[in-house]
Amino acid sequence: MIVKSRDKPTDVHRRQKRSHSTVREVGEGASHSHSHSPYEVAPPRRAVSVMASRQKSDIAEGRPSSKGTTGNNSFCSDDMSAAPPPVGGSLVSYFSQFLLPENCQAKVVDADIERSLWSLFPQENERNEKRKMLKEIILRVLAHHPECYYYQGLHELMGFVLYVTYPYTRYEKIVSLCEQLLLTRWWYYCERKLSSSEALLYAAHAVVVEVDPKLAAQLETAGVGPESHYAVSWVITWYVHCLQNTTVLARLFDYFMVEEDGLNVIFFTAALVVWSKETIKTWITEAMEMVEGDEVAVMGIAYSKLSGLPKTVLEDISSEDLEELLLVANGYRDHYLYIVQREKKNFLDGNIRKLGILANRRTRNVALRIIWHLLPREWRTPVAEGHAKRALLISTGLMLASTAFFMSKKHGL
Amino acid sequence: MSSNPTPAKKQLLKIIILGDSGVGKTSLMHQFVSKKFDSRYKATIGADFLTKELTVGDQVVSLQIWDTAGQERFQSLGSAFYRGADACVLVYDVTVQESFAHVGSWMEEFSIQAGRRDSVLIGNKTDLEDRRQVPTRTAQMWCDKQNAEGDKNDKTEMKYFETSARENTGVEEAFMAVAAAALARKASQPAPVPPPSTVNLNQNQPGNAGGSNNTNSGCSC
Repeated sequence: MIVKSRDKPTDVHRRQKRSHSTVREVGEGASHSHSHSPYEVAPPRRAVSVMASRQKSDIAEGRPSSKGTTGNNSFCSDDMSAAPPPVGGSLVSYFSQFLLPENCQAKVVDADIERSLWSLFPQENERNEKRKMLKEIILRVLAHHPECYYYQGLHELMGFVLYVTYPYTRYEKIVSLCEQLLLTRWWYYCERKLSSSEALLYAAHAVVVEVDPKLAAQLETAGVGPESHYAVSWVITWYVHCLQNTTVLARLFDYFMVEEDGLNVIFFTAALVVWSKETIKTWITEAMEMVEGDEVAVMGIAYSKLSGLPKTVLEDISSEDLEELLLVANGYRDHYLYIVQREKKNFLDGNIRKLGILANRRTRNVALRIIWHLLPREWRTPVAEGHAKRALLISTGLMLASTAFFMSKKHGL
Repeated sequence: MSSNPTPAKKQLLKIIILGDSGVGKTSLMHQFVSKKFDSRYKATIGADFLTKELTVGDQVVSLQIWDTAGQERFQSLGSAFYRGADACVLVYDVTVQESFAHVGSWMEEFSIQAGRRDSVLIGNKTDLEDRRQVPTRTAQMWCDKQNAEGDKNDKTEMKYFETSARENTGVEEAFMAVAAAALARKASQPAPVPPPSTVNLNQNQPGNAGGSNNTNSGCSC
């Protein structure tokens, strides 16, 4: 990637130079890793760093973006013998849903494959062929790893890898590559439950809190804190779900794959949000004015705008700006890696630090409403002058009591 | 000269669309909101959101429609989207028996998160009639059963519609029905009392809000 080194060396580039390997190295190691946990697998040292340069070379040589099956690219000439994938017939396909283990979720895969690869392979025949390959890859990899569960979004990740590597890389190597990525960079997302993915979203928000507390507070006020999961499709598909610009996607994939822990996507997400803070603040302000502070409506508008942020910012971003954004993300990694790890752990352990029942506006309001409705009716009348101080003391006492109650519940006391 | 009557405040209704993957939730939403059908939809990840303004009776309504992911694992995100929901649209595919079998669990999940609400059941993809696996009567009976079993003190209604998002049949009717039901329910409920910043514990006279039903006993019961 070889994202070609820039004149001025950066942390990102140093990382990439430090960890240098090829697609072939990743692929060849894959088939020996089945019985190991994700971190016991010998890590691919530089992931699929050929992606962005492949994109660039396609564009430079005027090759069609779908690349066809007859391309003769010297870039990977030793990998050119793309074997046709073993594609099951319709009968096999029908019975596969009963034969495959539960983690494969064959029916969901079928439904997703039918709705995939639209922009990557615009030609129908080619798209159908690639869909069959993609389904085969997904099911083969998952069938060998019952601990990994199919999730909606995995088809987009593997679909993009297929788009970039085939036919430059042999089919079997693509399978191995996807397998390795699943076991290392993507394993958070394919656990049985979604909680690890949710933990990552909380961790990304924690970075925003550190970098720009005002922005984080505004997001929470508008109901689009981490619990709204506005970024779930960005993270678990590595932005494939939200972007069509394959050059940008390829560069992002390179960056996300650099680190074995798969956390680069979190730092990039935080960087993207902070990078766009003025836009986000404007959206939230406009939403609040538009619906006069109605919380549900504000949350909806803000969510809608935010979920389209990658398209707004990244679809037509210049390569210079993208590199700058990646530098910011990498700076966050250097400074806040411990925060991401801590918040991820906190979430998985059930200790969400910044979203206590009284620290979060909405949960606090819910708690207050419950207390309010428990009060005798005559207490709910407006405060008479002169009694405000006493009432304030009592309401504070009630809040403290409710906090103590919820804390004791939380800690099982 | 009398002044112009104050226009009724626009009512916000939040509707959630639920159902298995690939039953056509996104297509239904886009068909209703934009009058468009695009066969090139992608799987929804997390949730999508659209709004549409419409008039129900003489009330202007802003319909906030949330389209959710169909895979079971995304249900854990539900609480974020279900909060404040006024109604839900349950969708199944008439050509996939299993998607109908799961409708009950979708409804249960919604009820747990948002409470019992009016809803509609939609059997989508009626344009594929030759592949139909779920008879209309079966779905209608299921709705009747839900209506019969509902809480007598908190009656909610489930209506059944069959639609084709591709051919735009039945879509408008289904969404208008759920909007009307949610609006009627909202109108029948008292406006929520905003939580106070302070409370008065030393008031001798019960306030006027209680009206003639209030007594001086000091007892709230």
